[in-house]
Amino acid sequence: MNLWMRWVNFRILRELLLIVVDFPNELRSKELERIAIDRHILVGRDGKPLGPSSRYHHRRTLERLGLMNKIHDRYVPNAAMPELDVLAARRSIGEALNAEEKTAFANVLLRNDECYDVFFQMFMGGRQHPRDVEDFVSSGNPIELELGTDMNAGEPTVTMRRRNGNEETVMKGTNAVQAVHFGLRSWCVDQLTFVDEMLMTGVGYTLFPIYITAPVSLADVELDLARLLLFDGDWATVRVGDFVLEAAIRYHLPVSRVRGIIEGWLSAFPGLVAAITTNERFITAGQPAGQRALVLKGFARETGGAYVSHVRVHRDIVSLLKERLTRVM
Amino acid sequence: MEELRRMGLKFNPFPPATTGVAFVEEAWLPAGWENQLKLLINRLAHSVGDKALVIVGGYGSGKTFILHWIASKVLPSLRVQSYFFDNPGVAFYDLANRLLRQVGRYELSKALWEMLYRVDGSQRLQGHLVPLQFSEWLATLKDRETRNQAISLLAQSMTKAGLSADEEIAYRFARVVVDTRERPYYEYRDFVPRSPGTLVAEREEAAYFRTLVRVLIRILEVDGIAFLVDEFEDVALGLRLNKRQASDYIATMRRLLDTAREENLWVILSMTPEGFDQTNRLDPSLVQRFAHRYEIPPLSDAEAVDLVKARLNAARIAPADGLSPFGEDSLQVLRPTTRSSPRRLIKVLWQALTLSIELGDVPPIPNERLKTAEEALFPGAVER
Repeated sequence: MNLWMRWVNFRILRELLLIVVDFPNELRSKELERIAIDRHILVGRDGKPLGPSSRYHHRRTLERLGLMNKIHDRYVPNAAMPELDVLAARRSIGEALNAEEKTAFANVLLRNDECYDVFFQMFMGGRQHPRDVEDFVSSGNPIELELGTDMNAGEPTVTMRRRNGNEETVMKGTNAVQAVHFGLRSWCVDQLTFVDEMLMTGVGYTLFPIYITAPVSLADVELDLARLLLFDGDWATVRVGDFVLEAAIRYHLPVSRVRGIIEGWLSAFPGLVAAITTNERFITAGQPAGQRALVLKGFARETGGAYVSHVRVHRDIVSLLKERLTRVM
Repeated sequence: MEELRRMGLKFNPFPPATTGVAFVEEAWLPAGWENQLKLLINRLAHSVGDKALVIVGGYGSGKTFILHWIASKVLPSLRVQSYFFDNPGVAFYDLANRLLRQVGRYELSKALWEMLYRVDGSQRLQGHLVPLQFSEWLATLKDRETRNQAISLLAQSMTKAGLSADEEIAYRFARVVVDTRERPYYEYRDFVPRSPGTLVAEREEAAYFRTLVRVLIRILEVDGIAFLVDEFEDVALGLRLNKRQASDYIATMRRLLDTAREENLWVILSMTPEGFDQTNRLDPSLVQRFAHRYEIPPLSDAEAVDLVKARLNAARIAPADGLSPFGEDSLQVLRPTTRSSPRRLIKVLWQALTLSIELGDVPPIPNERLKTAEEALFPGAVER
């Protein structure tokens, strides 16, 4: 298994590609880097050039993804890649990726054999490569990812398993952690946003495919969510984190958007939705400081700022949401 | 006061802070809650193994009230002595510390000494022909030799009385009694293992705790001891629970339950729903040991009316029916989220009654006052 993936900035990748498209078959590594530094592309937030290792990983990622090739030591854009046109269409630099560019990169990743072997095959459960993001979202399943340590060998491990399934892969070593956790996971979740994640105590990360641009309206999702509630008498009580995660997986939406629906209910229907708050310090118990924000992602916040772990919802909300939807239409 | 009399009340029966148990003597729980809780507690009373019950509910749902109700209304009929804790601390010895502070050092020492005296005979323990009172006996322990002898005799008596088979634990308890002469109160360091002069046997906190439970049962002449711990997960309040502390918290709970299993110790905890869920995530096998879990339900409309009536009845100058000084339909103008939450309901009614008095209303209080109070305390809809 080839574990070359490392953390890279996809905005920089696109802008490096622009240079290669402008100067096909002309630039060696150092020349490409020099131009990129001059154009403030291969620089950090402080404006200083990225280190040699980081510059190398950016170039290598473009090559391994097949977006450019090296022929006689010079870079050439790979015209056979259909995504090249989309990625090179916008000439401006220094701007975040738009939805089309994210989709283009995502499609490249999904078709890449090495990325599939290391990461995506667990989502697909043995089915073949997804063709594109649409296919990945409709056919892919959620997985769990856990970082640990092999106590015998004293090396870090990364475990991926199908959620609600038996299939599990354990990869050992720093390379594996870099490639899976800081590489592919971060690419898909943090930058290209076609996978979302939630961290839960005792479980680790749950990752699942999402739409980059959701084709469903939140109002429809909202009504559907209300109908999923199980009422005991007049009330249904749900744990926000669990409910939000299941809904996000079901509708292929980011956790933050579904959580926003619950927060919307709390402020729009205070007579029908009661918040059950909890102590933030207990939510993040046992988690290292760097992971606390990820755990808190699954908790709504009420207008006062307190974290809401559960909500109690009155059954009248279903008819109110229906009414609201009808008014909008 | 005159304004309250105009409302037919001796006092405002709705405490503004809505915390605490000022009315526990007139304690009222919805009949459904009472029945269910009594059923669970009777099941525990007649079962072997862990006597552990967890009450789950959000802030303001009535957890504290239920715990106090159990302590005052239910457990005494089962001859179980209750000790109430809040924020007991993460470490196990924090619990022992707080328990012994509640009991009191002098009281425990005196009761233990008197009990052992009855078991073991006066002369042997006292060393005198004429029986002494505890304070008189303490006064005889003037020098180290006498004190050491007394410790040795007491420790032997403890073993003879079946309170502890462990020499060191018996010794430590004997020291609790004898050292009362110099220090009739506890200090925190008395319960920190390995600290100088500690009263806790090193690495024997659990065994020490079991002995403590047995001692209390014997000296109080009860059939059991109950620990009621409110918002157990808030041991972390003021702290970030790092991995070690989270592990300590779980270990403390586990030890409590182990003690509950071996001695007649009841462990009744209250937790928020997230406290319960997180504890389950940290250690599912632990949560399974809580044989019984009571999730506090929301108040039904009828129960909300009954709660308000019960409080009003306690404050009325003369008996009256209904919700007077409020209108009979007054609760209906409130939102479901207010009517279904004891804390919210009581808070709104306190505010409404206060407002009504300030405005010079006469009964029945206009429903408008309740709406105004509700909106002030729990602002209405905001479109995001």
